Amino acid sequence: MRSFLVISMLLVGVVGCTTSNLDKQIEAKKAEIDAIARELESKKGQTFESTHDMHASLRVATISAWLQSISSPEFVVTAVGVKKIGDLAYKGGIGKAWIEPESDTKLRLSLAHVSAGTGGSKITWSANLGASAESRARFDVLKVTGNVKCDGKLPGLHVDGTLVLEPVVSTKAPYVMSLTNPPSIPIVASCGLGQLGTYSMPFSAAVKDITSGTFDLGFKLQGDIQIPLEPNPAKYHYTLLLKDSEVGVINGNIDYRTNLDISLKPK
Amino acid sequence: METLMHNCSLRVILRRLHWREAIISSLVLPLSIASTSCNSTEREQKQAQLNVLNETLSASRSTLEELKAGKLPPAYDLHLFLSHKSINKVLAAVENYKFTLPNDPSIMVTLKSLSISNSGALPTVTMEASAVRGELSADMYAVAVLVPAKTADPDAVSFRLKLVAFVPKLKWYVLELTKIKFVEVLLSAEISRITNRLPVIDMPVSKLVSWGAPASSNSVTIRTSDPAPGTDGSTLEMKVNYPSTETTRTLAITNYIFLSSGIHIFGVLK
Repeated sequence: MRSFLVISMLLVGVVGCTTSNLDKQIEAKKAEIDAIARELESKKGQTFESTHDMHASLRVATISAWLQSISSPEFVVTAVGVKKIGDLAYKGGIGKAWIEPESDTKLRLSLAHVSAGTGGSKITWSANLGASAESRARFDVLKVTGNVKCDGKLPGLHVDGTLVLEPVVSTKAPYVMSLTNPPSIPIVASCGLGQLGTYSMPFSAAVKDITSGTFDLGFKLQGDIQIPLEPNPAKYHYTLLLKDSEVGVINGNIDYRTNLDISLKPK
Repeated sequence: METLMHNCSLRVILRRLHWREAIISSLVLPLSIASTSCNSTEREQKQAQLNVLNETLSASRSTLEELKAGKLPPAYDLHLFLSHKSINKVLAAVENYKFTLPNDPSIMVTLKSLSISNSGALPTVTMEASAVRGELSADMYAVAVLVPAKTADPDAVSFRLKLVAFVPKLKWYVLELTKIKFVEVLLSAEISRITNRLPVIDMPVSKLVSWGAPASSNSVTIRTSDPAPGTDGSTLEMKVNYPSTETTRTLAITNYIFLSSGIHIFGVLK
């Protein structure tokens, strides 16, 4: 009986080592995975295409929602006079006028209902603009002195512009929000200066860009690898070094692509 | 596991054999040893490989179905992609690290190299490893998958290597009882306990995202009147004040998609 067991055991050993059935199953599974992988690749679409080591895509629709939130009820830029040089108006033998005090010169711009979209490879925005300007001018005309308030108001105006992306610095994409239509804000403050005439101060050059800032692109340049191995737990710190970076607007996204070098250091 | 059970039965039976059967065995075994020798754990390795392939296949089918149903890419505010090549560069930090086997601290396991695979839709990390106890050593068939891990850092997005296969590649013969025991210990290692000794890797993803700029001001000089005959005209320096547009939002990860090229992470901003 026991001899039979030994011989049976040896036979079972031989049978136990037979793996041809498993080999067939493994090959079949690999083939199926390969086929699915090929199908995935062919159907995956642009979102999943990778030309660089790392991509970050930020939806412009999300940026539009953010612009709406920061301009609700309105986004206000102000300016105040600090220092004047020269006279506003001068007529020999009659008199002159000048800005005084400087701090009475004020400009206020407001943007409401800002929304953003994409136009080709650009981010465009539009809004309702309101603007007002005021100033105070002192005059000395034919020995008569005094002061007069100058003001002007721009009725609600639909404006368009672009949000221009600049080269990415670290993990942030700088932007500048500038006007395209009209190319500048047509706001003036007018005042009557008697015999010197009626005078208009143009403030269009005071605000060239509406605002600027940065967008975090959602990635970091550093991370840790914690290795809880015994007997010596360890921690590594890696740093990403960006190279061949490019940023643009693709398919409704701010699209940032970069290749990476990675340096590792024990921590 | 079939071979493992066979190995265990073998030792029990050998202990129970009477001396006469032992003599018979000693006559039969030398003749049979050639046929009974094999890669002792070949079957376990292949079974483990098959299990991993089944998991990969399941994940790949699921991804393909979602893609066909138009559910991919999911709705997102932010999409980040990290190539397998980059992840492999990070995984290089773990090469040549050693840890003791949880169920037998006399066995030292060395992770020689790790690489994330490019097939299917499961982030499979194949590890070259070895296990050593005294003069006994075995190369290991070790496979892990990357799974999201919870960490204390609210700004961290981390992945853990979860072990799914850990099988020795060892050749042995029926009478090499020390080797059999070694194999048995390696095979009985609880992979969940080994997982706790494998790396946790922070993805370079920032969960706190800031946009805009703090309040600022700058100085602009405008021309208030053009030079007229006998004058230089006038200018006015103005201080322009911009309000703060700074906004910080939290990225909530909604999907991880694993494709042949790398990991795609999708999130919405809250």
